[in-house]
Amino acid sequence: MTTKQPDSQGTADAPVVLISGGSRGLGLSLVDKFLDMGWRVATFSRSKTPQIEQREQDHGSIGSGRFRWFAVDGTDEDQIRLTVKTIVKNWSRVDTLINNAGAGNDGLLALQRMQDVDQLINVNLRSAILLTQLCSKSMIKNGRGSIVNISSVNSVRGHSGVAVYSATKAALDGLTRSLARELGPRNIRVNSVAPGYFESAMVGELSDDAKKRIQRRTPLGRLAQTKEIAEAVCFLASDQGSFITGQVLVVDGGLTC
Amino acid sequence: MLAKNDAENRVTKTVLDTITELLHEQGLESGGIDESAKLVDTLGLKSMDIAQIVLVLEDELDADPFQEIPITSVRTVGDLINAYRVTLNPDLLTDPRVSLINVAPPSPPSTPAPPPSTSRRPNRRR
Repeated sequence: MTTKQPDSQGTADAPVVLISGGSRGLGLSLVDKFLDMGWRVATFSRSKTPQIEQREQDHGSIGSGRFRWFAVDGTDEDQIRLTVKTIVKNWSRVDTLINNAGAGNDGLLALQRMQDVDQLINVNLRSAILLTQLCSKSMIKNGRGSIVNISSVNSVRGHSGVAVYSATKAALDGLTRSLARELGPRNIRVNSVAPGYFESAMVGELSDDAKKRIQRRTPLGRLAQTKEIAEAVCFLASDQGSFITGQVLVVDGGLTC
Repeated sequence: MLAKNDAENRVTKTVLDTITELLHEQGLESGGIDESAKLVDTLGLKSMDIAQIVLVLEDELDADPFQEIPITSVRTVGDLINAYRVTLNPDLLTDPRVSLINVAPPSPPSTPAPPPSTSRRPNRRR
């Protein structure tokens, strides 16, 4: 077990992780997981949830604590730049970036409005590329780091009605592989986690019949719990995955095997 | 005028110091760098080394010229120094002594090299 724990001197040397979209679902599970591991955790979302307020109370604010939330629209380049700059200024570095923020947009491509397509590409891909560019600067200077892109089983298997979503996730996997080669010589690892269906807001919109069908087709016979996806992300993000880079780890109970 | 010269000297010194420090870190020859030295061909820097120099200089000089100037236009140490001088003092754009400004258009995309496993090289071992 090589995952860093908080040192006895406090939090000044604790690793720093930035998780996009950490106010609920998988992002919130990741926030909790990294806080439990003793890391300093920064996250952002468009609006604050009661869960974020609770973490702010429990773990304090930047400078005195290990948790900081920013109100950021993931498509606003200036806000993203300012957020990363603030984190680096206050905590001096970013060790790990998790590109988790994402949106779904079901529907036949032929009937979709291009403004909705653009929005999905901006949220799922462009903001992840921008965050990666900004955080990798800190990582290059420090000579170490890790990046995990939250992809999807839709990036490895085709599904009707999610063509653009699938395209953005497959693009993230391409980003993962090329950046792994680009940044590997600077000791920066880049990986993707491709979750299958897990208890989330997106899956919550599925009908009961659809959920039962997915469970039937899944060798493990159930949906994943969110924390099971978070465990895989933490494994790749932390030193436990120290010799893994450029990979897409599919966490789907065997759905795509 | 003196203040302007001081600022330009500071830029030159900061760039040279940063390059020297990185060369030292990489175990490369760092003695006697002059402005005509080519970053890649003469000094042996790789593209990621140049990126690291630019990131350090962004902190040191609080400037990132390469949001405007294509990094591909920078070939020599002097080009790099001039990029910062011009960004920090745009008046220099009209100064005929500043040569970089050579703001060359970006290079066309290159054809990706085939992966090593598929490229055939003559077998020199007989």
